[in-house]
Amino acid sequence: MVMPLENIRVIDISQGWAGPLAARVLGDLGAQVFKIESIQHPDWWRGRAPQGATSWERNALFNGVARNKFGATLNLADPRGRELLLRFLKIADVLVENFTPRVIEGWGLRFERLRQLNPSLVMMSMPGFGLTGPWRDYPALGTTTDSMSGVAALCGYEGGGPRLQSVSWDPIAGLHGAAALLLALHHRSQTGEGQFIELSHIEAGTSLIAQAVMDYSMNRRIWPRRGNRDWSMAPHGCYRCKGDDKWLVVAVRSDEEWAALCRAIGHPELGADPRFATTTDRLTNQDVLDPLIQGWTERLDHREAMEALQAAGVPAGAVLSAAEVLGDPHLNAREFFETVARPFVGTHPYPGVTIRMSRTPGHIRMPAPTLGQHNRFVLQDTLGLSDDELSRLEELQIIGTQPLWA
Amino acid sequence: MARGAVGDLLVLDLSTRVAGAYCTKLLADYGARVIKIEPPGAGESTRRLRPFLADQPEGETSGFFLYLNTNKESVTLDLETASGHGLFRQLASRADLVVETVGPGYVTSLGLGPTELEPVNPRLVITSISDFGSNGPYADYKATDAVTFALGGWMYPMGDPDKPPLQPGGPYGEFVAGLFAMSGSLAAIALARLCGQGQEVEVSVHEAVASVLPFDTVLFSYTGEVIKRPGHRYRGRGPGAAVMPCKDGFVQYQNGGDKWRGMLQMIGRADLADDPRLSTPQELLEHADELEGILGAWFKDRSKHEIFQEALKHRLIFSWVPSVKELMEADQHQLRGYWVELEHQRTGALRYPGPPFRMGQTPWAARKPAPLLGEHNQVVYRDLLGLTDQDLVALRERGVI
Repeated sequence: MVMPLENIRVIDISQGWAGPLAARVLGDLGAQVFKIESIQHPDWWRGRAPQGATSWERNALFNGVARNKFGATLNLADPRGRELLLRFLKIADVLVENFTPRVIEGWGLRFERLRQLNPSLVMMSMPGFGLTGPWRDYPALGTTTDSMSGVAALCGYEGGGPRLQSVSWDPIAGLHGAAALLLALHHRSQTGEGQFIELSHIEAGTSLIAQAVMDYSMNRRIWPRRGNRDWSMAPHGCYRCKGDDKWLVVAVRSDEEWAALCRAIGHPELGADPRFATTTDRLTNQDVLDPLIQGWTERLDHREAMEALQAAGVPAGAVLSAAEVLGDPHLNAREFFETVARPFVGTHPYPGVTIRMSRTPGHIRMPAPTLGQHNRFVLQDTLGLSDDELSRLEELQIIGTQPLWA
Repeated sequence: MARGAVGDLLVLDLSTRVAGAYCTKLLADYGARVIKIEPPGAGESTRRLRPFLADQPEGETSGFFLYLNTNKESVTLDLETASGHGLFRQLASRADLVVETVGPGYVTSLGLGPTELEPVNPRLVITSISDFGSNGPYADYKATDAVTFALGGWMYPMGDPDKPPLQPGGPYGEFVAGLFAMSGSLAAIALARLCGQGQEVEVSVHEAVASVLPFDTVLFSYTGEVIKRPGHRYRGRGPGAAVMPCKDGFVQYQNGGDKWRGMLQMIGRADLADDPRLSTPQELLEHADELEGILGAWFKDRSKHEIFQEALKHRLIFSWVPSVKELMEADQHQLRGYWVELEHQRTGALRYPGPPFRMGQTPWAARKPAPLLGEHNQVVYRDLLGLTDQDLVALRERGVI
């Protein structure tokens, strides 16, 4: 079966989550992705320091993100390592990187030079704050881009301080990166022309708060933190259920859903109560409603409560922990998780390919590579080096399969 | 350059939710011709999303709609009529992509599904975005942003341990689903061009949310550990990453391990460098409140910018927590031209977020603001499909457009 991007070669020298996610989305769509690390600096996403033997191969974060990629090592600080990378770039279609500009320039990997080597190369750099501007050199990590994209200011309990996203904001940059690469590849398929893409994490990230931005733009209004309330739905909240740390989200969008909720929780009379007749009324009086709803939910298992409300036509969702997500009947019915075997960790379920395609469905074809797992495939089979040349590279520590600090 | 990265694409946009709108906005902003197909009369539902200009609810001045629909055209069409079908089929015969958000099977239920459209356009890609997809126990569930965050696992590890789990604060699941849908659509189009056959692309918001936190389930499978709510800190990093109040707002840092010594040095407490509470991650976690208390006292007397500049000098990873207002006034965004001003018939000039990424050869462009409802009926039905003005009058009289 032909996969959509199977003729595309992506070289991913990025580290962390954002760049590797962009490359991985293309891998999930069938591209051949080559993740290039080094034994001097394995992807820091594997864990920076050994937490026990082979910890860099047993990291859930890395293994959850790095699938559908070949893995090789090249010490890019060494000119011989860079020379091999350049040879590889000549026959590649895409390069993804997120090093600091100083490092990229020091290594001679600026786009102006690479495009002479390969005029149809698409190269994407992913600086936290952009390659220009007063914030250009500020250090950036996933949580700082959460804050600096304006997201943290909008998240928190009523009257409380800002709270960070569980996902940081890295995957937002990563998903925009995949979109950018596909746009560039489309243009290239029409014209043969590659290009350079600059993706600033905070510029991508700020798109997601556009609704709040437009309220300031139009009305000069700054949103307060609302906890689990909503400004246009009421009641809307997160209610305690029976058991330890079990919760249910309920969101009532209309008077019909409100009446249905009242019946479902055994208080049909509230449906006729003028205090709660319209959304505006319910928004004003939600403090009265929350204990009434919780009086019902706290006697029920969160899934039971969800099923009862959904059966009545009310939006409700059990707040699931990772353990519960893994066992979720809907995700499992849809085969969202794929069971994959991998050295060092054995066989485990992993979230599958999000994008479902009717004729060319994606799968986890390869688990996250072990460090340098495909050195031979890349350097011998693809670039034509001999056994002797490979041994020499290993001696010089330009390639390898174990971190130097191990 | 004038055509944008995907300037050759024709997209029919039937979407009625943020996810679909963002998917097609990304295509439109980078050059595609995107034609929104909306019900006559009220138009599609995202026109009714708050905020409104001066809080006056009105179908043309929803700020979020304005942002999500830059560069698109709008036609009205009643898809439940035979004439409506005919017009849609004509448009679909010329299109590369149809995006809809009722759910898989919707266009088929209208008699406009892949089987019907394949003879007129075998390369057509049809992308569907729904809450839960078309099968499984939740397939008919009603959802809002909070519901999919809750079921997808994004919400459980957010907020404070002694309070309910906390919603993320915006419709981010919709954006994430839209991003996946856009990537899937372009990949399907690429394949359709190579092999002559289109296909259906499907994204569920629930699965998009579950995908964005890909490793919590993996961590549980590996170790049995479940990530819990970290309060003002960041999950899994103990006290190494947190948001802390300061004199004029909040700062945020991500300085694990050894960098704690760096932070204590910055605040003039190098004397604590060998303190046993810093010796191991476990010690650090156990004494997190006290140690944060020491930092916090120093932060309270200083502004976020003072703290940030000091942190830079000490090579520590800090940021602050800006409001939307601060971001719109920030030099960084002004100098890079990130905020873009667009003129719209009903709102006048407004500033919008600009390019989410910069493409060297095929840049983002705000060519036109969001369309008025049916603004392009003539341009599309007459100029593109060849109908006459009388045809349009008749169709309007019958409520088809």
